[in-house]
Amino acid sequence: MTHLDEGQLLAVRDGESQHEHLVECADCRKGLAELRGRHDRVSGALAALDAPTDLEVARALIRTRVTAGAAHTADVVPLTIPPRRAFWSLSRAAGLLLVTAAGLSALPGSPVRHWASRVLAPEAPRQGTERAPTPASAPSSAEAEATGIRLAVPRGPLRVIVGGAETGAVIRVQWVPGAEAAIFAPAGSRFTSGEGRLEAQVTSGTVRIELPRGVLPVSLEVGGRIYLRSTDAGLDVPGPVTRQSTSEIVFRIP
Amino acid sequence: MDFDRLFDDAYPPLVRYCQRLTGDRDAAEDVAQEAMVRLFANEVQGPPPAVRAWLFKTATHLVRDRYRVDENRRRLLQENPVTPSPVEGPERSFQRKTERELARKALEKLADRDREMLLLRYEGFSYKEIADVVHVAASSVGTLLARAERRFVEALEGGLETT
Repeated sequence: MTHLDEGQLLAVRDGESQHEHLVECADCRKGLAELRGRHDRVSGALAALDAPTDLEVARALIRTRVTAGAAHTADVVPLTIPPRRAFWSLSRAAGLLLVTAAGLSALPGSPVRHWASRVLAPEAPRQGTERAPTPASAPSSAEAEATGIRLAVPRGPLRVIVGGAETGAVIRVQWVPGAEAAIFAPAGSRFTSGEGRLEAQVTSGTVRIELPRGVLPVSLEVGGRIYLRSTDAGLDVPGPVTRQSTSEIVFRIP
Repeated sequence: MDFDRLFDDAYPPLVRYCQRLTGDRDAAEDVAQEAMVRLFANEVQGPPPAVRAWLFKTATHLVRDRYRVDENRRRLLQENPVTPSPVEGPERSFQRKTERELARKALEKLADRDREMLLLRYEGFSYKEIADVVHVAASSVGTLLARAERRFVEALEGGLETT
């Protein structure tokens, strides 16, 4: 009598196949029972790896990115795409053009940067403003935000002030290299700046803030409350944190 | 495609799979969110099982691309915090921590493909779907999975003996 091998028994256990042989072979039935016990063992061990995650924050982040049509491209081939290839190719080409323009606009002295600062500026610098923010219509990451500003901050202090954010809104703070701070928020948001100060009155949706790592002190105020303060003494985060890592802190407004 | 329904159905298992695969919660969330965004951006359509398979396949590829380097993976695993639940006593918390570390180490002893196959199977994917993700013949999935499972359990028990 030829017994079933382990792979065949596993396929039976997993409902992928059936073998009449099992009816008459006690040894193979015993092997199958052992595999069922092993399933429970593996399942229990894997469950130990699971950690809670904030689904509502994820929902809001994904929805914002989907709504804005933002997504990274490349390195994954979709299984099924409706017959709109030509449209997507064009849109990707347009996206590539935008990214290229954004890259050029980041170069000091670039004519693209000069053009962008004249054409895309959300509002004229206010009187008394020493540094005009650089418009950032195409942020470095593929976030969903439609608009934003950047501000050169060679040294602290830096105050970032966010107003108008509604309950449930997500604020992502990312630590970045260099000496520029930035705020990105959904279309319709308003931005102002002064020396050492960035301010945004935002509409509903996710707000992303870039803070330069080396600049101290830095504070983030949201709705009149201090959410984050970074000084020589260290980082203090009294805001409603939902996720924190060395590169990013995510808040959700209660 | 209804966003909320798809999110509710697909995202929790997807992020769980990514957590198990990467050993890093932040990385898992980034990958799972990216896969969801791509799903909508590419307007992927089809019956729910096919859409779900697409999501997991995309997430698997993203993990491979972003977290393939062993050194990086080890770093991520070391940084993976084990946060005790506030309602747990220290004994239970310690036990959970130990179980988690054992399972993580056992998973890390598997080859990448075996790990992916094992985790996909325990998310309920069929052998055919698994074969499609890891690029093997469907007829060999049973044998490969059996080996992966056996090695995982052996690594778990080996870890228990040395604990």
